[in-house]
Amino acid sequence: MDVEISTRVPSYPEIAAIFDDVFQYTEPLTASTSPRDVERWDSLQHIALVQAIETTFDIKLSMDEMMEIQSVGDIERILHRYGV
Amino acid sequence: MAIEAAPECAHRRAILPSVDWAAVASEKVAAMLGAFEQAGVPCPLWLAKAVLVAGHDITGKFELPTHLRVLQRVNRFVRDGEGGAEIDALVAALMDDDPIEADIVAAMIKRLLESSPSDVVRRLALAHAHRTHDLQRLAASHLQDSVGALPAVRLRLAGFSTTQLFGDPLALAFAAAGWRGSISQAEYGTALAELSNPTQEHDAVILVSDLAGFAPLDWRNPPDEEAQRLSERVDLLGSALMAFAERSRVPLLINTIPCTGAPGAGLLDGWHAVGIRRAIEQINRRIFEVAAASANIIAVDSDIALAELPVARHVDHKLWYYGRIAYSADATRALARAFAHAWQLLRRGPIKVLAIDFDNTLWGGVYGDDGVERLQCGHDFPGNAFRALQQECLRLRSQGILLAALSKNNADAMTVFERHPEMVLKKSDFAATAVNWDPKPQNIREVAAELNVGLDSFLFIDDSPQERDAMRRACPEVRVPEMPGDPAERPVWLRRQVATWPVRLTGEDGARQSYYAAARSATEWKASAGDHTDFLRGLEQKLVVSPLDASTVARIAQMHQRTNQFNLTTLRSTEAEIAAIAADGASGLVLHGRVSDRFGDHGIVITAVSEINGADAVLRSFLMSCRVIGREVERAFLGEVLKSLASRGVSRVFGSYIPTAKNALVRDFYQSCGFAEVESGEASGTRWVFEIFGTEFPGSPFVKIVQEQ
Repeated sequence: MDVEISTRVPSYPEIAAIFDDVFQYTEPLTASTSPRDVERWDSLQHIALVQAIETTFDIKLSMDEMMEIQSVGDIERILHRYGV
Repeated sequence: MAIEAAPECAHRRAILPSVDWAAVASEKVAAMLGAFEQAGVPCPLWLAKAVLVAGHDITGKFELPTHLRVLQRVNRFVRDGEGGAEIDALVAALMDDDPIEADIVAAMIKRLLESSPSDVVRRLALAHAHRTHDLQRLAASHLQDSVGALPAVRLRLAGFSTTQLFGDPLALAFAAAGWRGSISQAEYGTALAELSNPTQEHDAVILVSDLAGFAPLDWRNPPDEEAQRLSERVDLLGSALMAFAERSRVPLLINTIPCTGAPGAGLLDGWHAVGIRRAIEQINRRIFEVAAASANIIAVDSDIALAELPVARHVDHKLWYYGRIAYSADATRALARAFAHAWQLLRRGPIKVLAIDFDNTLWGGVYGDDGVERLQCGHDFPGNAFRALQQECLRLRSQGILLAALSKNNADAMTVFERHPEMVLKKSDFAATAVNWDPKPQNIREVAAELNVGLDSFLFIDDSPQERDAMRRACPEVRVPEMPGDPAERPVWLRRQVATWPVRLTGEDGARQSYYAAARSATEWKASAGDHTDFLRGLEQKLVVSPLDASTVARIAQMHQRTNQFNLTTLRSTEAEIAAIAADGASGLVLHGRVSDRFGDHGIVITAVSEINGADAVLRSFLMSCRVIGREVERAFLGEVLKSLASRGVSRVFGSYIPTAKNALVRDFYQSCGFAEVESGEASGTRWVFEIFGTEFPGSPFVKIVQEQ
């Protein structure tokens, strides 16, 4: 099950665009893509990521959600929660 | 499909608003528009906009507003190269902070940047970069091509909170204003230290101020004491700014604290000792005072910069708690733009000539048709709006800007100012007149020659889009803003035209007299805080060193995860790993330090994890929050760590420096504290040893070690 989830491509194509934009990361994304894989994903760029998600999907994330985002899968789960 | 039954569905607003038009084939869109036309129903504006923003064409006889008409031209040009010569001129009209909707202009910029990125298009992208995240991104992607030929400016960026996120918007805003800005960031939170240590390597210092970063309030203290502390802090800032102004060759731009929507003392907020509003005003008054007293200090009014952004959106609070980021992305862009405008005004000055049209600009109606009596200008509606614009012209004249009449009329139109009883402006207020039937570009050149002022010092205001367009094409140097169609909007619109803002006014010498007090306190500051060491002494720092306990382990782990700059080994230890080392009382020692100064408590900001093996100990990690960089806290703390290890029978303490992209700051740290380099067995980094016997423990005269109660 884990394997299946981690190899799945993100269901939001916008996420790949955001990763390209914010981190200049163009490798294929999976749900398990995390700061370990993305060199520029540090604590400062995390803010740029959150801002990009907020403006792209027109949502406002909470402090908890900001912490919750540790991988692409986390972003997807949050977006599902917002129903976007 | 609903698109075939377009008129009915659109009318009911069913389905169509949610369509992703970019994904719909252009034939289908054409069929839909055809259905509207056949049914004799106008295509709704929102639908026309959605279709055009998605890149489609709109054919048929639909009336489109100006901006959508331009987007339509852009779409056609991108699709089949049609009307290329016109595109630049059309786009040039959109440079101003014009009411064009952000998504419309974003669609144009995106398409043109992809197909034919001309200079005009890149300038358009920069001109709108401050408006949304999307537009900022578009401009940023072509920034390098845009700034190539621009004059360079080296900016030093400091602040009371994190300024890292200001860098990119600032570079974009400066590029939009015509400058290639290179930005060097001061260490976190070292704004006051920057002021006491002006460097010669920059062309300007930009100091980003914010309330929480500048004056954190502590309600444990009695209100009077807290108010006193704020006053001291304000004095310190004022003196530091004055001292900077006297010593530095370059200007300093500081923003004021923006107004708050969340009072600290409810209805009493504006006057009570603990009122937040009162605190903001106290700080800002001092900033304005030093700006009045010194030409080198420029106060950028945040409330004007943020006027179009709701107060609730000035701060993204989670970002404040996450990383002490004081302003939201929107507010950051707006402030960055205000800084760039200030720099532009400082270097280039405001315009010198305001060239003004007559009919339907200075008065309502057309002189040639209506005669003098029926022209609208006076104390009654709607003439009072025109009269107010004349007052604004007079205001600019009193601030040294020349007025030039630029009207297509018979020459006797100048007599209106004498014959109409309610005109504010008089014939003699105009430094030059060109009232005739010649083209206005030709007239403005003659006026420029007559006044001996370059065209780039002209601002031209005219209610006619055709005249503005003609002027932009013939005289691209002249500034031609889009004037609002509604005369009621125009007086305030003119006040917001940055190009007209004075930098210095004659007669301010009088105002300066009252700020001798500020200058005096600067002399005192010089005596008391003449250099960086005196600044440090004035901080009265205290350091409490304690061993790890259950309540601090999470903070220590978090510091390991987050600290990048002042971090010797960048070991990303987890909570469990740190707790495990500390739990082994015999071989592990985890210490942390809490720092406070006369302005407040900084909390736990420094930590070291060491492992003891007999007479040897190894510093596994040594790191400090950037909040207190540059204050010698690290020297004092390292001294305490070494003493603590010595008391456990350790005689040699080893430490490593492992370089990363961000920690060059600490490369020489161990050396500066009495460590000697030893052979490094590792591929990268350096290894150091401190001999407890025979070496002086590092410390700092500016940090008092306080034993925990």
